[in-house]
Amino acid sequence: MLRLLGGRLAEAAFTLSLLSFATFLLIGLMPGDPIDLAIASDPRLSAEDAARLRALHGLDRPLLARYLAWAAGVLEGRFGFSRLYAKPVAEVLADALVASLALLLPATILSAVIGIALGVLAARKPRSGLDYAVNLVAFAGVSLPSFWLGILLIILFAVTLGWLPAGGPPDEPTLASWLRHLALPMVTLTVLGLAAYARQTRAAMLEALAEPWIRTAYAKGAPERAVVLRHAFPNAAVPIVTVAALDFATLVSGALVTEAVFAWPGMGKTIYDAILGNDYNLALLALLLSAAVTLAASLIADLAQLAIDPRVRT
Amino acid sequence: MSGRAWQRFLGHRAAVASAVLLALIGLAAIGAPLADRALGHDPFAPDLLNRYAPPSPAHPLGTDELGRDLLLRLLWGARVSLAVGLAAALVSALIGTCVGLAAAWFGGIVDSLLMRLADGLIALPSLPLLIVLAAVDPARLGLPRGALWFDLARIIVIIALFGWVKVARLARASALSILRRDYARAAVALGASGGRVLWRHVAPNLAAHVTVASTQTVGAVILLESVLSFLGLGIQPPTPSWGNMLAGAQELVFAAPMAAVWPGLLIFATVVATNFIGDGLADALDPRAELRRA
Repeated sequence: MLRLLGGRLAEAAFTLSLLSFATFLLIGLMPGDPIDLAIASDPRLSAEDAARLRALHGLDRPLLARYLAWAAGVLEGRFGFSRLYAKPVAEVLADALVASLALLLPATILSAVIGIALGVLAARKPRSGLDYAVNLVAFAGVSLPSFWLGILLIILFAVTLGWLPAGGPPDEPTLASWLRHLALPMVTLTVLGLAAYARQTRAAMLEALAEPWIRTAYAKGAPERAVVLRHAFPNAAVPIVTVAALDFATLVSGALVTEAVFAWPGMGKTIYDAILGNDYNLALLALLLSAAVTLAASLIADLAQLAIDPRVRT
Repeated sequence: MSGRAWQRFLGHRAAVASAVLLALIGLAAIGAPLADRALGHDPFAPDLLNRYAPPSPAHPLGTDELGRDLLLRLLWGARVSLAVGLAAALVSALIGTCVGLAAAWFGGIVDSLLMRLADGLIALPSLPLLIVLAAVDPARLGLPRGALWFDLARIIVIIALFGWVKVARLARASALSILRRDYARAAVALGASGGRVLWRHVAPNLAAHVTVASTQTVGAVILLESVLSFLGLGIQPPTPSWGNMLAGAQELVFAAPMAAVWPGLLIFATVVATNFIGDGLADALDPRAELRRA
């Protein structure tokens, strides 16, 4: 157990440092560096100024040296400044994280609850009308381009009906304003998210319900409710926990596409803007943070499996 | 596919309907230049006097913000989106199979290195990384910038870079079980080279699994292409792809909502269709399916 944990943590550390290096290199290959962008926005800067600024910010040094300097800073807790927002990176990320959580936490919980319920109901009566309906929803959820669903909702509720805003952060700090701006992206994410839960739950429940102990439970006269919820569901829970753990990891990386469609200032949109805006302090840290959380979530999923399923412990 | 597998596939109504639908979309995409001539428009030439024209006999679906015919652009976009989907799925399948076979055959350190790499790729949030890759400036690597073939090749490579993992795991698992069978061990004992054993004995038995897995990835790849193009990092306008048409249409939902409906509908229909076909193939090629029905 401890060895497993240690091994996985070492692996995660290795993956993260490799990832940070690769990303650093790739961002170095993007068009323009911060000084180019500064020149473009201020015509009074001359070539000498640019060279001086490059030297001042260390941009004339080789990539490897710059990477090592950056990594040393991060390890000491100095995350640097965001170029786009002109604020410390940690501050920018904290704001984005709050916005992402406000959107994703309810959406994730809703999609998990609705998806699992649908999956259980569908598995209870395979090949019934309800089962086909759930299958259809699950299929549609996997095949829908997220941005298209978002745009359709905007067309319906913002353009045609005019009930809700088409996107953007809340304009006033009131609950009503937050809810109005959150409604459409939240529905989008819930519809897309519940598909995975419904599929996994249905498959796992079907498998569990085919086990001999289910027949035994029925034979001794247990009511169907108890058989489905007490006997079958705990056995189906393991794959569902895995889906949930990875899903919750996206709370930190944000929902990039949906946030882009609705101009929601969450983690996904921040990462996207940072990458395209050559704001590598911000992009790297946000990427590393979301990768670290994803790795941690898959580790937690494995540990949870050990905890809830004694059969995995060997 | 054997006769029986065909029959099973034909018995899967949704899969057959999907195959017909995909074939129609494919034919329409191939026939795009003919459609140009039939309607007498150039889908790439702006016609500013005819912006946002409503549907009419001349423009069956109306025109976009530059007065270009929407239907024709959808057909040309289909070429790009389908080509990228198929090519990226093929490249992923090829890389995945090679990696899986290598891991199964060499075992030991090669195996653990390759599989660790696969685990690592799965564990990472892929979309931001795809964006980083797509945002790299080709001019800095001495590659041409802006050429259409380069855009296509780049997006295919980027998607394949993440797409091979699933196939590789599958190929490795199947290859390991096949290599333990008697005929494979006999071939090894008779002195057949590694390449020959893998090519003659393992690969043919793998084909069905890999086909199913890659069919299922085509849909995911088309989605991914549309996402990247939507974010402005895939195929660049004026070349239409379903993804970049949607991106353009989102800014205009108030002026021309239907321009945002059609490309999305096509993406959705195509992805649903490939998923159904994948399901149908999985049932048809799975020898246990017959037992289950009996």
